[in-house]
Amino acid sequence: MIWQMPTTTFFVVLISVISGCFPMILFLIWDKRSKSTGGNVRS
Amino acid sequence: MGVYAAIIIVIGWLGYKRTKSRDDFFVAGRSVGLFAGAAAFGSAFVSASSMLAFTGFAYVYGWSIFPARLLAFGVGWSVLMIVGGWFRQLGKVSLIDFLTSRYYDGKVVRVWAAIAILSIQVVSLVVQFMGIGKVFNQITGLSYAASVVIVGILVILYVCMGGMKAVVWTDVFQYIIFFAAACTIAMFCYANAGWVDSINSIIAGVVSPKNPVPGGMLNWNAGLGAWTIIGLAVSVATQIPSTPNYIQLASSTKDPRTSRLMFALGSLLTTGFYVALFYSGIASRAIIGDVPSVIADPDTVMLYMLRNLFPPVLAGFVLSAMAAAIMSTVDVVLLSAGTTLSHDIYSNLINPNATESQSIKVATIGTMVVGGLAILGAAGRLFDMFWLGTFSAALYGASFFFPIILGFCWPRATKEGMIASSVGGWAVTVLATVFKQQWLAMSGGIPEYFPGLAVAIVLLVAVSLLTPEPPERVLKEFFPQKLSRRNVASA
Repeated sequence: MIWQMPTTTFFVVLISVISGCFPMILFLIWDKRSKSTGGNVRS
Repeated sequence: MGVYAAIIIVIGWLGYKRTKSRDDFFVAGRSVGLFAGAAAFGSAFVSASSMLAFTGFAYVYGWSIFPARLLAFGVGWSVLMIVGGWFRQLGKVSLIDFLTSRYYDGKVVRVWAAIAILSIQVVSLVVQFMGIGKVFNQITGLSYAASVVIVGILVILYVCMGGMKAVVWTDVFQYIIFFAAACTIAMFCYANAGWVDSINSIIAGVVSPKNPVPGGMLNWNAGLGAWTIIGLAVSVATQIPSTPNYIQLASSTKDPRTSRLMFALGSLLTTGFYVALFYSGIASRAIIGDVPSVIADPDTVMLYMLRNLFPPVLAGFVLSAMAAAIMSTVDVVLLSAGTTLSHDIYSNLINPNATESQSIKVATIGTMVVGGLAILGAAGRLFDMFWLGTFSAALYGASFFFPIILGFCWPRATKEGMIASSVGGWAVTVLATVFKQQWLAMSGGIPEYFPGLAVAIVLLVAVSLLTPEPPERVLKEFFPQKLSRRNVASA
């Protein structure tokens, strides 16, 4: 028996948007945080 | 044939006219802006060889690794975005520079990092030379092995004679060519097979030697197994932040913020590219069905489509773009290997008082040796490009991922820990890959990329705890806030 992936257009677009946009979303959060801490977020 | 050759010469000449030297690249360092940087990241991330390997993989295994691979890209890019900002904040030029100063041992760390990077570059050059063999085999009709050897030797001679002024395409130009080629292929596939739901209804009936069940290409693992898919995802996610080229790119941006935004934007651009490749590979199975020569060598699926189905002019454009792009990638890797050999190994270890002409001689010989090894490896044609590419990715991750991440986040990480971790991770990954069958049987199917990563983290933590703390100057440079907090507490 095989379990088929729901590879519809919606699925392909969803996965692409999640992986493509994830770094950008993280950047926006990071940028906001680093502005509030005067540019230095490390340590 | 004549038209193909002419187009290649024209594109090569255009590439030559639009070049800048590697030195320029470094001197221009610290001034790279957002869009040039994002395009540079995109063109460093995708190569013409990866176009062949990816479409070939999708042709055989269908959708199986699509979600895992793309999500792994998302994770890897996110880590790279964070780490890239830190690299830029520190102002180190290269991965080797970072490791040598964070792990406070000029010689051993530098020489080991150089050896590890060189060895991985040889593997990735083999992949590129295989791409050269396959593309030129289609263009010229020469046999695969002859294409590898003849074109390979020409490229090496050209890099050596051009010396350190060898040429690279401007990245933006190269990225546009890549993107145009991928879109051309994807649009052709769309015109012939329709969008996702339509190709799915066709491939649902496909039965082939590598997917021995009907609808295998829609199966979530296509016969690969869950472990293999997880292994591929982890090796890619750890490789991305550990690759020296990207770190160099982060270091040449204007400021940490630009570096972070560049990777975030580059990821958006690159996702589109990979989705087009996946889709084209799967659609090509729906279009051409099971072709025995392509099943035997999946990397050739795009070349088969180009030769047999595309209008000749369009095929000529895409093939020439691929050929020229592979050559330009090979140029850069060969040059960087020669420089690493002469700068980090020869001048550091063998002859500290080397004159400039001696260094150049060593770099030239190094380029020839590294290129020669890669030609031999590629002419042997022992592996699929996809798996060989994954092996080089796994080596980067096992050798450098933890020393980079813990180097930034854990003040207690010591040079002994770093060397043990990097050497151990590299060696175990090589062993587990060479003895893959034995390892899989012994471990119950755990991918050969995992033991190297596990050994790397365990050794880094254990050896660091057993050896003396890093000196204060390292804490001062890399963890200023922690140090000041500690001083406040002790006062």
